[in-house]
Amino acid sequence: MNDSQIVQLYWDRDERAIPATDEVYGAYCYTIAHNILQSPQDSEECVNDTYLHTWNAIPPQRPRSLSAFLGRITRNLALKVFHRDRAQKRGGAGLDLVYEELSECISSREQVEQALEERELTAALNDFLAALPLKKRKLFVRRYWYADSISDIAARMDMSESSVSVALHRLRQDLRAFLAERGFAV
Amino acid sequence: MNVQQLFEAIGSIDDRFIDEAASDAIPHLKWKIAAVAAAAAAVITGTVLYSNAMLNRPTSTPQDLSAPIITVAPNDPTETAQPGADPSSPVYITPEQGGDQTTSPAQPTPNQPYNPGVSGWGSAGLPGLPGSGGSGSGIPGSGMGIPLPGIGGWNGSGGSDPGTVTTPAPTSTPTARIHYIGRYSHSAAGDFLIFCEPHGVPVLTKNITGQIVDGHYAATVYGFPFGQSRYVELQVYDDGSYDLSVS
Repeated sequence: MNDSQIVQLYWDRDERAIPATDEVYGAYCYTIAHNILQSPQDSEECVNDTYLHTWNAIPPQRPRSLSAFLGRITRNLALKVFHRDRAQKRGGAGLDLVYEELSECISSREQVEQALEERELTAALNDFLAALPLKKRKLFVRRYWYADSISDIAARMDMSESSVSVALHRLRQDLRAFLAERGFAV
Repeated sequence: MNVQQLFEAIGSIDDRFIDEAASDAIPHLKWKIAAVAAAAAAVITGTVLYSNAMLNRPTSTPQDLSAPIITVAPNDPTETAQPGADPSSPVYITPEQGGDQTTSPAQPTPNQPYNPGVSGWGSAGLPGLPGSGGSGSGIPGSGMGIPLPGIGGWNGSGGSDPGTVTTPAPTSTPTARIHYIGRYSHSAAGDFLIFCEPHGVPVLTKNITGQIVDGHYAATVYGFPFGQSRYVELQVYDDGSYDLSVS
């Protein structure tokens, strides 16, 4: 079943939309959740919640890319669980590393620039990514969108782990410079 | 800007970058997909069996016990097998269908969800050779052929499966189909989705409250310790009664 057929099931309020989504995108969503949460149980729950949110969101929405739509919901839900867990001092250690690395791109983890609109920041990130070569772009997105581990990225892109680490380090430096150039306080 | 804002802003990047990064084969992901697929298959199978059981619908069809599996006709059905008979001279046997056809397969009883077993069939030994006897197998029953010197063994008897009762017999015909039996945590979003037919069946327990909305049952689960999860199963009957278990 293709994406448009699955989306149509949601629009028809056809309950087969849920198992169809699970069949095509269950593993995809689970991987995203697991990369952030590092917990099979929490990840499974996160995927179930993704289906519920999708059921409630379509209609009225009709996503252009169902995979990105589902992945974004999963990621956001996983982040909520992650922050809840971190507040309770348990679990979710995987994302701490990602946060630590990204902190190099800004001046302080605690500093909050209220004036920054997330939309502007996202637009800048889109420009930054669009200017990157394909391989570097995938590298960045796999690490900082999918929260893949360094070893997973190395295996996926046929690189050594040290090469991945070095490449990501340079990308973070480039992003920091790019954001500074765009007027963001970093 | 803090790092959480930056990470969340990255979460809003253009769809094409997300799809692009997910487009190629992922060796490390394969095992994850396999693991998840296996888990999902287990859940789906369980759900389907459960639904079929609720509908009192067998999930397999018994074999036709009247059909012989070997059609070699006997030269003389009364012929007595001789030890050491010449293998080159044909000796015919009548294949015997094994199994007790009065008990295989077991039949479901009314209002008792049942999965009938599959009858096993034996196979005949080779004519003219000391027969070792065929063996039949069922799930999980099994039969054993009778070794007869000089001629092929008898066909093994078919096994039979007494079947497995998958749920207690309901007091009335179930009309709800369970489409979601899964883990639910109190600490999650606070909604639980169960598709339910017919619409409008009220469900209320000490742990779950909710209502039918647009054909699905939306419920909120209360009373669980923070972070703990539960499996929720809902079964609704045509007389309006229901079984809702939270384990």
